[in-house]
Amino acid sequence: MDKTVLPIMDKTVLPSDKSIEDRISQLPDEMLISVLSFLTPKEAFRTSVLSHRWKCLCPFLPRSLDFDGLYTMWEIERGKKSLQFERKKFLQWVNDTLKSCRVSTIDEFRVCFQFDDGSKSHVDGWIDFAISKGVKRLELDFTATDPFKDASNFYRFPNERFTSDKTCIKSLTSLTLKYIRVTGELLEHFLSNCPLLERLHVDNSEDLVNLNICGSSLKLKYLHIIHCLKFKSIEINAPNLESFGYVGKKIKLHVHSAPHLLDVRIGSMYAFGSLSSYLYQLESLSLAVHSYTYEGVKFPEFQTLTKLKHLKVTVDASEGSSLLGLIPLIEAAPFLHKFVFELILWEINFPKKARKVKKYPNEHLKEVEIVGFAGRAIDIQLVVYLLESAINLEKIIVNLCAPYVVGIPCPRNIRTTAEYKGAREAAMRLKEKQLTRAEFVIM
Amino acid sequence: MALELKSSDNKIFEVEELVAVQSETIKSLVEDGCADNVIPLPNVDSKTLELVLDWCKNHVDMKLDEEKLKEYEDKFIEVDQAVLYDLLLAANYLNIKDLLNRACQKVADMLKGKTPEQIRETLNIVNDFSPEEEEEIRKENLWAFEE
Repeated sequence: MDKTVLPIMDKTVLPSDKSIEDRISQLPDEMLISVLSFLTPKEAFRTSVLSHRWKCLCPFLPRSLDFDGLYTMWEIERGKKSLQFERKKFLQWVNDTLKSCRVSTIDEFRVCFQFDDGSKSHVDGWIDFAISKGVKRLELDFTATDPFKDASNFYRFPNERFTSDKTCIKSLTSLTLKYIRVTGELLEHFLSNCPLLERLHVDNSEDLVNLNICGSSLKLKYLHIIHCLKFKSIEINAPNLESFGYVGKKIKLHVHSAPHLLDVRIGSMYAFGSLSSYLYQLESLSLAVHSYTYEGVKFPEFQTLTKLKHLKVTVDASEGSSLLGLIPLIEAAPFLHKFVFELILWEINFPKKARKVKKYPNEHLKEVEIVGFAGRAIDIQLVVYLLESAINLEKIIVNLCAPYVVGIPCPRNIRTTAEYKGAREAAMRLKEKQLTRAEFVIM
Repeated sequence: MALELKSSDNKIFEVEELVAVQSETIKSLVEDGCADNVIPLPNVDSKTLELVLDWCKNHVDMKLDEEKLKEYEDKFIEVDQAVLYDLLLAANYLNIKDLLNRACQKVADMLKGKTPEQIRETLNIVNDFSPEEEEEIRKENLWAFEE
């Protein structure tokens, strides 16, 4: 964003159109604070410079410190910038900002950049700062863009600080730790000592082995454990849990009680067994399926999933497979509103001949999105089925980017192929066929 | 059951109780038994009251159809700045939470993505800070102005 000094208005100059007065500044405080609550914390704080009246609202605004280096991280990955240099710059940015920060409390503290244990003294200091300011939402996203990075060198969360009861973390409502070494014991400690903790997300911690979540007063609503390589078992007894996610290899998964569970994300089919009793209350489900056989994707028998509104399926398959195995799952959810499927095609070879499929009209499906559209028989078959059966479809998005690339800034510059050859043309041909009245978006 | 509401410019509006009690203010009057006669609303003019009552009526009619309601709300809130502020104040006075929320969101949309200078321009806010004072504020909240 432009860093030049913006021209400052001479305060004696009045607005040219005097007939429209400044009515917004005349609104009562509570109303302006409500208005500002719809903006991001940064945008809201910028209004403090509008006039004295707006500055008065400052003490009542939520405070957020968000140091996001995602874009820079990907530039480093592409060799455009140096990690050493950028890391030093980033550290300085954070440290300087914290030094000049004179607020007494903050609501959110987030850092997104590639850090490892080498920066431990700095990061420890940031955590101390955040806790001392009564932070509510703490997120440390140290995602390593290099998948082969040595996990043992990841930043170690400072256990010692929290195991002594002196540290007050009573304000914490959300904790997100990615690519950080944190143990199950510490997480359990947080759960017992943070009465307001609602959200816990841990990604890539090799120190996480077991987790026992129980407590009748637990406010925990969201729990996601993703890709923790040494994870073995989890027991959940969380009466308020609404969203559960687990991606990783097979573990002992036991959910004792989750009457409000609405959303589940699972990385593999085996977890279905442990969660089978909850399937019928879910409103949204996200699963990853591996299709190794030539028959294609297969699902266990489902009874009707009456509450399911959102379904996301990630399939990695070879071209000889068939995605038509997804159809029974879609048909099992008669009230499905949105269906997203992500295709990771790991082998392009001889396409299977198109199979005839019986089409039942699907009245409720309104939105479909395909990520990683390859434009080959494997996905065209499924798309055609969806377009022809979803009679009330309103929108279809065909995203040509491979799933692993979504969310990365400027994917077209990535060294690996982000798009399948010929996909765009195939998508356009499909659009021209006009199989549906829905809005057809190709991106 | 019908209620009678009187705007600030003395216009009488007859409305179904079910519609009028979308306003928590009117609801408490009804519950306290003070709604037998005409209810005066000195802070709301007839033009605004008509809009507000339209909102309330549609919220009763379309209660079960979430999508239709959203479509209505999006269309409803496309109004001039002046009307928007009148709606905001009326929704606040009459305590109609969903209207207040939607109107606040619309005002926020006017601020989104704009620099302070652009906001002052759009909303006619006079900058009563000296250049030094303004610089001080930017420094104090560096993280908000840094990009």
